Amino acid sequence: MSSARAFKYLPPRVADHIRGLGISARRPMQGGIQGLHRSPDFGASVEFAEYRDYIEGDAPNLIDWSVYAKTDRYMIRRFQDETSLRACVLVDASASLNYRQTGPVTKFEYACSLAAGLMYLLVCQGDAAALSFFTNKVTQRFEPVASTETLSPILLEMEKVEPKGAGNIEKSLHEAAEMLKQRSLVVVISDFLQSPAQLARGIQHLQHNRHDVTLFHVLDASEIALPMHGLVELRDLESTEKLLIEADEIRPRYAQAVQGYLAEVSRLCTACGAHYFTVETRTPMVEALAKRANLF
Amino acid sequence: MPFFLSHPAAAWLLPAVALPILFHLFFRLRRTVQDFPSLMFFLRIDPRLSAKRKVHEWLILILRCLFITLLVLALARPLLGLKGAGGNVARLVLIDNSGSMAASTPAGLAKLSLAERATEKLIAAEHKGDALAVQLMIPDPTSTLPHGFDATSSVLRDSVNKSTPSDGGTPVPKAIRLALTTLGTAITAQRELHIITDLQQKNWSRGDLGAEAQTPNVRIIIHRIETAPVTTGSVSIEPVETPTRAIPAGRIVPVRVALQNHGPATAHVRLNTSDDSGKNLSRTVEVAPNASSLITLTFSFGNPGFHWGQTWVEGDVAPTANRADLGFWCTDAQKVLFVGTKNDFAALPYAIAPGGNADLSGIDAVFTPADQLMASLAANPLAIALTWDNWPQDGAASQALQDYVKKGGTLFLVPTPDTGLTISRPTAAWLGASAGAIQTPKDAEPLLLLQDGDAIWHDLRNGEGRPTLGSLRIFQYRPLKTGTDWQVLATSAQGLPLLAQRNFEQGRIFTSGLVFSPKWSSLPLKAGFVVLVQNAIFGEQSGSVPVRLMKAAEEFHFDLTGEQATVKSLAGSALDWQGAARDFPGFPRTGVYEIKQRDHVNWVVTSGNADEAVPDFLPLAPVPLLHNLPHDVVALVHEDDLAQTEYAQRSGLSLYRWLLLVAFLVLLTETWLANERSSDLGRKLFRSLLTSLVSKKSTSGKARELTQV
Repeated sequence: MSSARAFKYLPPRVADHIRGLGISARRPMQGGIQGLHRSPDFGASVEFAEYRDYIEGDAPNLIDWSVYAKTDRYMIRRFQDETSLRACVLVDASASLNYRQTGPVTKFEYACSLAAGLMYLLVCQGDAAALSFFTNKVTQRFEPVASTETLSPILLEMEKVEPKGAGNIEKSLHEAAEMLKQRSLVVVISDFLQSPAQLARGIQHLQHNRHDVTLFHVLDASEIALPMHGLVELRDLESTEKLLIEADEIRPRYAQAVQGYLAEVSRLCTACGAHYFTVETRTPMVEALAKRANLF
Repeated sequence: MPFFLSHPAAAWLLPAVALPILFHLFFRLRRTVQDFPSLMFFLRIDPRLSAKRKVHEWLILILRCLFITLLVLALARPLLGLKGAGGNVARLVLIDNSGSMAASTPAGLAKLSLAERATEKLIAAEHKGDALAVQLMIPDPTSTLPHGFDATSSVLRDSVNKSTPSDGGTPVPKAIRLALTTLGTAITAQRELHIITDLQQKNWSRGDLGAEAQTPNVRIIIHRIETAPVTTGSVSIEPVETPTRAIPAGRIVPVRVALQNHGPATAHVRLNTSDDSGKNLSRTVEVAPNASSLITLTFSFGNPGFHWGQTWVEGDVAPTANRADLGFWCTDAQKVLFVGTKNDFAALPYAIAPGGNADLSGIDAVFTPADQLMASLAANPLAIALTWDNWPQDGAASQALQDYVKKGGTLFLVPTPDTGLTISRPTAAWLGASAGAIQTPKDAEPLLLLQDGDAIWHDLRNGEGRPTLGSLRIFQYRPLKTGTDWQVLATSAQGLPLLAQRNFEQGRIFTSGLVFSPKWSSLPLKAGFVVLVQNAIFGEQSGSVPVRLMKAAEEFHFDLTGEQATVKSLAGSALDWQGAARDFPGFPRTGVYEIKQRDHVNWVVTSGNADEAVPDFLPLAPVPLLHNLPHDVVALVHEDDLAQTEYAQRSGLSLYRWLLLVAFLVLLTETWLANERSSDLGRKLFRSLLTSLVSKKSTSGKARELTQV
């Protein structure tokens, strides 16, 4: 991808590293063309699927004559179909993502980089990838692309997006679930600052629609460690609400609350059958992508 | 256990205690503001400042306030009074040196002498470290008593010896206030004010101490000296009527003095007079018991300028209020200018210059034609008499008359006798008055005198203070028409103004609707007519006389208070004082004093205060004047009484160093607490200290939060 050098969220060095990775779906996918992924349909792959009785109208050359010789029945051998997958990357663009304390970039920039890497990876392996941004709803949507040439405009558009506004992940996931008509690989990249129960409802909706859901939880290290000292007045990036805290006093209880929250989200995702990964903004991109790519 | 502040002025720094509170608020405002993705985790665990943190902050604030309070208190040098020996006492002895203190005790010793001796004994008995000061109730410019507590014992003893009684009355409240102020400068915890007095009733009944004299740190002891009872005649002398105006040289001046016998027996004394020309006179006077006698003395001085006279009582048993000095201001013979002929003014020239010259009144009557008025004004006459019909119709002459009056001249306007005019000639508008046509009532009307208090009725008032000239009748008159600036002095029975006066800048104008002739009224036939005219001529000129008559020890103010002054006595008690006018203590004794400031010279003449001779004294009981202040009244019979009695609760402990030490400890604690966050050891210690202070509620709240997470 010669033009990748110009992209903010997909530098050539990263693109070169992730080219060798691969992503697969746990569930059968429905793609438009022949691909690498398992399809719920029967096709012409070499992988045997089942036998079934011959019915009138089937081509006679499909009859497995050796079975006929043994059983005196006309049986037809069916093979698994292999198809390309269609992925949809959902990136949280709410104001809370516009935070950077200890990492090299903001959470939003990291999320965009992750999305760009994923899409590039998918396109490279012959799949189609779409992109959507959401806050409290889906705010911007890019149609699926299946080649690096068609991916480039999306990568350029990504650079123009600014995180702002309050977020509602559950509502956005419901909207995305209604929007996606085909079985897809849905990758949600967000800081998931919502109650785990609400979050789970959104994921369950996607799972119910037979999508393969993967969640990347982007965190700045300071969100866990709370590195500030003394009296600090915090301002919520989304609601601009302010709160005066004594950081040293509150740190242990805060860390405990955050860890508890992360564990709860992880548990719910597992229960829903979704893949859940926490990534800090200082984690190298390839390493973050590899968490998902090496699953299967 | 009394608590004193040696330097109470430091208490003005106490508002600085508010500074930590301001700083506390200020620093709280400077907290860091940071953006954060979400507050949802904080809200789950209730991140508000914990009770421990609040206690910590308040503790630091309280410690800071406490530190400043302790520092200010230390600067105020507090002293804790403790019973028992070991401490020091500041004593101020206030000696009553009023005229009554010149009288004797039953033992035959002068009261002031007893006071001085008792004070000497007290000085001699002074403990090491004690502070002692002596003040006189009546400030005395001849006294060498040092101010404040810094004087040595020997200096004090010598100065007390030289004190002499004054001739005036004591301003007791003022003297006590001054003494309390002086005591306020003492640095010892225990302070005593010893007042040595005879408690003369007149003095101790005047004035009020006021609420500001509340001084709980001072113990007040009044040492009352008993006075020998008066069994014979005791005479005081006091001027009753003295001249307040300039006197033409050569004129005989009457002065009335009152001799009052305060004793139970008839007093036979000699009344002596002398003056600066060397004339001496002596006469024997007999005054009945508890009665007074008015005696008229006469003085006459041939030269213009200041003159003085003295009068004193000789042969009186009581040496109090026996002298009265007098001062006079004489001028050259004056002229009164009559515009017209002698006949135009009827009896007026005779009343002004009886005998036709200045021999009797010091005023000469000069007549001039109307057309020479302006030329005659150049002689600057004392007064100008003019008839209504001679009012100058020339504008320049009218203007000259106006200027003359403005500069302090006196103008008389009277009708012309035997005139056939029925319409008066016009006068200048600035005059503001005119005379109407002649009216002749069928029957003689009474002349009513008004303005009882006006100076023109001086020496003409009866016992009720009403002006009286006998039965006054008017036969014809020209009623006056006067403006609002005029003051009507006499009217007809119908209320028509007939005599009026007006102040015109520095001068005065008298107008009359009566010719001073028996054909117009009976006024010229009355004996008081001459006095009335003389009063009108001289007016109230006391302001221009550079002589002030006052009683000894009365409050005195210089004309130029901010200037240097020289005061010298010409007669009476000796005084030669020089210094800033505001530092002059006053005139405690009778005498004649010359005061010089820059190129101004004036004179003060003082007489004794007859009240000082009144033998009424308050009993040995709390004094009504000091009803606001706790005090003791004890008898001072012997000179050792004062020194032998130990009144003091001697002070024992200065809290200065202790307060500084505590303030230092508070500062250390504050520093440790304020920086405990950076010190693990400090934090642990602090937490262990505050464990008991943290409420059970916060503990249960924390558990609940963890459960929620």
